[in-house]
Amino acid sequence: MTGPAGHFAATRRPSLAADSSAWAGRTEAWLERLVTSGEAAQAPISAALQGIVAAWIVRELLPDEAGEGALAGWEAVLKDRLGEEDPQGALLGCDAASVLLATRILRGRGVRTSSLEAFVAALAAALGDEAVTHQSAELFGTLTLLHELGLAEPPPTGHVPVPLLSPATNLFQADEATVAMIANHVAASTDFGRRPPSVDAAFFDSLVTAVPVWALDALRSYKFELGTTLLRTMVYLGLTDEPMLPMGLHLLVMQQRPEGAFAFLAQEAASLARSKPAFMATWDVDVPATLACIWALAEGIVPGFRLFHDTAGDRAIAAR
Amino acid sequence: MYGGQRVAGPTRERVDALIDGSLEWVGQNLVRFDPITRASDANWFRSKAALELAMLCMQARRLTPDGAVHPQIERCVDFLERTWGDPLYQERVVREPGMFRLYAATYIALQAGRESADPYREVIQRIVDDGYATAIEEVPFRVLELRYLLELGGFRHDLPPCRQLYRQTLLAKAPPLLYLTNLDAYSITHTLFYLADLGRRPIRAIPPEDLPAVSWTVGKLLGLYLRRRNWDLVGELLLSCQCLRWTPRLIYEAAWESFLAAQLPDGSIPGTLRHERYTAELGGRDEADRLFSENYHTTLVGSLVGLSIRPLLDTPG
Repeated sequence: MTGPAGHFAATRRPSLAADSSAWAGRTEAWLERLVTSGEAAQAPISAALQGIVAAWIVRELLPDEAGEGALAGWEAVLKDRLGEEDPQGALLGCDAASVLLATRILRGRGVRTSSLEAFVAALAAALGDEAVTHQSAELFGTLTLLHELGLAEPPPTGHVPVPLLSPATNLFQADEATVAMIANHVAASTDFGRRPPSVDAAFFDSLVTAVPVWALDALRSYKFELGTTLLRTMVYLGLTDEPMLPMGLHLLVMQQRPEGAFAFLAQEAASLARSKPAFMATWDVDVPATLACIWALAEGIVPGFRLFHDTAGDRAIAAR
Repeated sequence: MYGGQRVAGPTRERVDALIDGSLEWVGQNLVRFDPITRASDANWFRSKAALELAMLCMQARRLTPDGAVHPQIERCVDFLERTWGDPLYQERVVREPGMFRLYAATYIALQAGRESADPYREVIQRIVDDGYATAIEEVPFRVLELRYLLELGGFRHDLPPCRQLYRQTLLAKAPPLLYLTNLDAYSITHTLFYLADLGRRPIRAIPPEDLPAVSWTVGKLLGLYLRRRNWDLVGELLLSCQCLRWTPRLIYEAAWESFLAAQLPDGSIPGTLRHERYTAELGGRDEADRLFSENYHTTLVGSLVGLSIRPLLDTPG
């Protein structure tokens, strides 16, 4: 008898890795077009940070220098944004991980911008020694990136705690906040899948069973932020034989729009447009959703790729 | 262990409580299963409920060959015999051959396991022989259902073998699980019910090499509907596990625990909200009718899965 994975049409199709040039190429073209059309010049700094991170992931997915156009374009956009008055104030409103990832990407390209460097140094100082011993899983990614930038000690990986659930609830029924919290702990405990998790053995068994169910529920409900997080959680837990992982990644590829962005979120965009002042679908929905999708796809299909670690060296070793 | 709570599979005592409570509720609501609400019009929705009750009774009787069926099942059988015996209902199998599967199924379920030949049998066979009932274009799992019923009743028919019909089903075609709707999930559970005779025989129509994927699908759906607290599908998927002779680790135990805990003090099990029209057709006069329309199916499923698993459980003490 064969295992379950080979039975499903979605996992029998040509592998996602083999197809990556096609879908990653479309995303690269979309990201580049946002720059060349001038649209990116209007992007808020938070979107510029996400844009350069997305372009960097796409370049990692494409062969040779195929993704360089979009990445160079977003580098220029970000530098423009950072050259404006009071970028520090704007950076304060951004996701810390995006700021740190963008800093790492720019440094990797030989670019150091004074405003960004000053901001991350201030961030490192603000977190300080307390952060190094901080057990918060939410801070793990930030601290990992600060360490990669030479601004902090490596954070402790920590333990995945068994959540306290109400007596009438089992792990499968955990609410989304609890699920997201567990995903954070798994990422921190495994250092984004680079080591086995520190977790009670029985709870690990439960997680192996529950995470694919949570992912099924989230993706089937078109909740991509949580769904893509859970696909990455499966990667971090090493669930490479779990059919839900290729099935979920395949679903993401199926959600690519013709122009290259990911996820068909017109309904959500329409709702946000009514409630959020100065809402821009491209920056508030399309770029974040696309980043979430290609991040999960890259970590799901490229051996050794981890966004929060500059793993080019590791992957070169793995490829040899 | 989930969040410090120990989760175990069902004990016989708890399954007995599930069966007793759900059948008690069914017995108290028998009048709402009555499909003859007006002389000129058999209520389609109530006919469906009556058929589902008949299938439950059939399973209960087959599981107790010594005849010591649950007293509430005896009450239900008496009620269904009276219903079927009413010419206003019985004649519909002939007058509405388009609804053959619905009306004939009630008869077949009532007759299953009985040795004495019933005179109405010839009428049913005549309709089958006429070719219309098996020619109706239906979705594949419904054709499988018709074949199952005709085989169960010992009727001649021209439907293809189970394996051939199975290959046409959604379950066999194995689309990505992420797209499946609730109705798709029902098509999967019912496909397994018919192939396994509600868990009474091993499934032979599914190629052995496909069984791991089918089991995986059922396990993941059970986890999904447990998460969503859809007790109707949780119940059907628990019975599907029995049809597959397979228990998905952790999910099975958690699903049973939650399913048993979901039973209300009156014995019913909360169902999914029915369409307003359904409520109106089925009853719709008062709160009790509304609750019946919402909960009757899940409560029947609870009785069915409880009765089906009970012989497999250890005797207490």
